[in-house]
Amino acid sequence: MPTHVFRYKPVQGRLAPIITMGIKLGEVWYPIGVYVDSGSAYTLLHAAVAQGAGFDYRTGHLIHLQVGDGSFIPVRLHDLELQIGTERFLAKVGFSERLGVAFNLLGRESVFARFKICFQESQRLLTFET
Amino acid sequence: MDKDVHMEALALQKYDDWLAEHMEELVDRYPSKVVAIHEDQVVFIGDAEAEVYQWVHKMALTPMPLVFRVPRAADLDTIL
Repeated sequence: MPTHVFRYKPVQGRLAPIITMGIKLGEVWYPIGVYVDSGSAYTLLHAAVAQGAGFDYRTGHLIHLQVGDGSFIPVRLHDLELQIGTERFLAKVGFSERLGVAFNLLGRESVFARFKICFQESQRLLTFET
Repeated sequence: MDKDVHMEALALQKYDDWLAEHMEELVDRYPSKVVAIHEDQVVFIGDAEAEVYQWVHKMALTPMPLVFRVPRAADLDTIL
């Protein structure tokens, strides 16, 4: 079974589970850094990413997601191709102008059921196994 | 395996390794900035994704540069 290994990224001495994956917006594949977040239902990207890539995220299905402070943020959901390691697959990806965190997030939907994900912080490694 | 998939995977792995090696440097030098990374170096720095992607599209580099918003340590506290 293929295992894709990523190193934690150090941010002023603290370790962040950030990985680089691919996302297909329109006809173009873009590399993007995402924070692996088991607390996020969906993969969520800042709308600025879509805008920069020329992808009209506003055509996506509108949902409202509850965030940490109890408020709801508008999210436009799309079915998009992602690539993690050598695995390409369709995933629900949301775009929001009000994400409220600095990072793009890799969430559970379409991702966590596909991979066995191990957070091995003591070894500074994240592994995605299919 | 599809050749494109394999090439893309190699490019993604290379970017990921570079980030692991240079994240602290990015955080020290460019906190909250948006950078474009290509061929093991920062090739453009901006305040927003829009201007960085605009530059990326204009330059048409291969492989596609990694556009990355550099975090601050405090940003880790915003993740639930």
